[in-house]
Amino acid sequence: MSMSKIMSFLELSVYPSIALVFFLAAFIAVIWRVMTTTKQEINDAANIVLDDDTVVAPRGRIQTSSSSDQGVNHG
Amino acid sequence: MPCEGVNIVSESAAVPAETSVAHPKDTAGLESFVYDDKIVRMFSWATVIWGIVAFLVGVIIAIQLAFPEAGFGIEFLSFGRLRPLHTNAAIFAFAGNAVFAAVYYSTQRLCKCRMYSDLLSKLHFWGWQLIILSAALTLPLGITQGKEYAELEWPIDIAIAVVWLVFFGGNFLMTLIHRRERHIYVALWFYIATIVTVTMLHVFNNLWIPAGLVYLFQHGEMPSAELALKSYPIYAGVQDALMQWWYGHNAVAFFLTTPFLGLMYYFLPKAAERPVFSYKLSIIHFWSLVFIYIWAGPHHLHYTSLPEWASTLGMVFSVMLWMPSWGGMINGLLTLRGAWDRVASEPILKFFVVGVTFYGMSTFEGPLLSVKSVNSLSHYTDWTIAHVHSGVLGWNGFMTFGMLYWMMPRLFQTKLWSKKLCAMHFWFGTVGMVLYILAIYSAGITQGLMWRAFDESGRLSYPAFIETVTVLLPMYWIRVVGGLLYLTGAVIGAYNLFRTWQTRPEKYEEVVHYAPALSKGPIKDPKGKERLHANTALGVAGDKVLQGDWHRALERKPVKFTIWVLIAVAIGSLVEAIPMFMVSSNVPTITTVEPYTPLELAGRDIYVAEGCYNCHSQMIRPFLWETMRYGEYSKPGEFVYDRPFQWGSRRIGPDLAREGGLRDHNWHYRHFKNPKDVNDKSIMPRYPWLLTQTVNFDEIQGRVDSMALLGVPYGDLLIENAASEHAREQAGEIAAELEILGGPPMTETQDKKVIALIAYLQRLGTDIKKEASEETAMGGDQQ
Repeated sequence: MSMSKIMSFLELSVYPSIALVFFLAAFIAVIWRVMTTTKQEINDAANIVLDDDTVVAPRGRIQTSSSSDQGVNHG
Repeated sequence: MPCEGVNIVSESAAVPAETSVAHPKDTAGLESFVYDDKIVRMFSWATVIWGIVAFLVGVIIAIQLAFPEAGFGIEFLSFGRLRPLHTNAAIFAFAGNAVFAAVYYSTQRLCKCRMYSDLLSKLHFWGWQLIILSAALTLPLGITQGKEYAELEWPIDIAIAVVWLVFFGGNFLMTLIHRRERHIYVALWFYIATIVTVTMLHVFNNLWIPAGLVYLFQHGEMPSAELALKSYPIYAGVQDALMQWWYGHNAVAFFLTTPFLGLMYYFLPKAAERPVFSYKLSIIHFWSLVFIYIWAGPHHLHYTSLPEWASTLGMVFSVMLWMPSWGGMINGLLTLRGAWDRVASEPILKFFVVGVTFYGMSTFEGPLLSVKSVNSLSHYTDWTIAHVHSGVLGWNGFMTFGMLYWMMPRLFQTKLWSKKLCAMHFWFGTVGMVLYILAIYSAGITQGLMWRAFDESGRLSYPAFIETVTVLLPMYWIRVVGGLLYLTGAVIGAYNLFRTWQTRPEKYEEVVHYAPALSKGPIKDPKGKERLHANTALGVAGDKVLQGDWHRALERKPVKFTIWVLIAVAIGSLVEAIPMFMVSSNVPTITTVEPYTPLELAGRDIYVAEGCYNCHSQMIRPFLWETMRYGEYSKPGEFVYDRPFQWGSRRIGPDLAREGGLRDHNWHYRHFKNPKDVNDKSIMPRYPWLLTQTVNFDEIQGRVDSMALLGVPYGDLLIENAASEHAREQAGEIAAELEILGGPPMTETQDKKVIALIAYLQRLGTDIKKEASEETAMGGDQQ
């Protein structure tokens, strides 16, 4: 018996139902992970984006690109 | 192998990876490195240039719709060939280069690491530009697969796979592996999802057989360059449609959404100078989006021959998608909390705010359009076009412009040349967008309502299709104005950035950064607490799971993270694809449906090459207003020899599914010569080249052989040159009939492309009209 015939005997709705269960399980797990995370850890992660340009310049002065003045030359 | 540009200062002092070091006297034990900003500058300029090209081509084809003579009867400028160029330029050239600029800039900084390989970065950049140039050359030449957003032919497909996966994906993943920041920031998750899923989509939607290679292997020669570049998909009809819109929808999801969300999560906090509103929400946003998005593709095929279960599945998941999408939108907008006063004075923040707002509107409208009853009105109309443009112009375009204005002055180590011009760009873009979208919304809803309108006697109120087109022309002109304004804004932006570049220092300062190497060995969260005082290993492990350590570990393991993303997107894909391919009842066989004759096949390939699918559908939906206008609704079994499927997604012209036999050969001949000769209100362009260019009959054998290799039963036509001879005979018959009907002498037409195209059109939809006694459903029950 071919795979196609075996598949044809199965009820189609079972495939999305199984996948939906997978999704719900993954969703609940992610919610659990998020709700049990400490505020400190979340804040640290969120602030990575603001700390990523803190550098040591060749002349030894501290430069932080993200806080550098975003001015205008002309116009 | 360490990242390029690394110089270890000293190995003596151990500094925790998370520690930020900001003074040279503390650099003992740190690694120094320099970001590769040159590659970001290159991608940024490519974004600006290709953006203008994409918008310009868009304006040209918008003018052609309102004024068809703007194609000048030149084949390379016809709407059907330029429209794919516009969409490919907007998606892969403009948005693609913007994504790469964002990825190369933010990844290095989020990983505290130079890109893994400068060579791979350069190969990626030049390889991608070469692909874009190839598209710009091949699409106007009519070299296309005929599948929306996947038009590029097989050699370019291979190049895309190599450049995307090996040069870009490999470089990105190796950079993650060699990073110096423990936690992988959420923007990088979205980049991972982009790379993994686009690879999967591209590969599986572009499985084909190259017709030229088949001919070469069988005959030892290549009859023409045209055949050398021609391919046929391994999927046919309904299955091809499912694969194509699985790809098409998720190209929007994972090329135009997830990387731009990564961009949002990086550049919006940067511009607002405050962290994202809720990092927790961003985690939920990511996983929900990645899991749900992949399912939604079938909503592009409501009421078509796609089985209803797949269509409904696509609708349900599309509606579910609303929640994570708006979670992301709200997260973006609320990141500006406390900074709204700056939005009024900072054009960059204006771009971001409008961009995120358009994301919210598009992701509200998307689920709305996926609801079947709404879709029955919107599908095949300009409503879909308006929806797409609100996403691309508003979300992708404005997020890109915001990023470029924020990033490029920093890359040039100078200040933005003119804030006024930046503001001017914003207003030109905004007004242009609003004009475009409102006009096209109106056009779409107007046409959709006219199609389904009945008079008191139960007849169609607008039986002539052309009536539902000419009424749209004023709105098409407003679209032209809107597009011109948006283009003008982009040109102003390019000028401003060019002047900014001119004020750069003579030599860019290469700022040295320092960070400790990422420690090796098992990961242990210093802040983690084991609340469960278990004395067994199992208890401790269980407690770690409850504390979310499994996901925390994933956030630090790029390879594992990538694998889980792949699993998430694969589930939705397989659940839809496996039943579609494996369950025979999805496509009941119709015994009267036969393969195209060799000449019809050649004609079909001309139909594909000319991009007719951009204006004509071949799918009659089971609505009274459609069956009254076009004939019996389309059945899945009618398309088993259609490679690629040509159902289309927009009706600028009428549906052609039952075109065969409706009009005589001479009508079609005159129509191709000049559509206004048969309908003075027509907005179809002229196709004079079809009347003069000849069919290469010798290469038709290669086309038929390739189809046979895919399982099409061509029987005796596979004997050497039998297919070519058959095509010549049929062309002679049609040319003779054409002459009798008042057309030109058959000696003038029998070898011309127009004859092959007429042969194909006269065949469309005729198989199921054959003797009812021959028609027997096989292979399963009707859906």
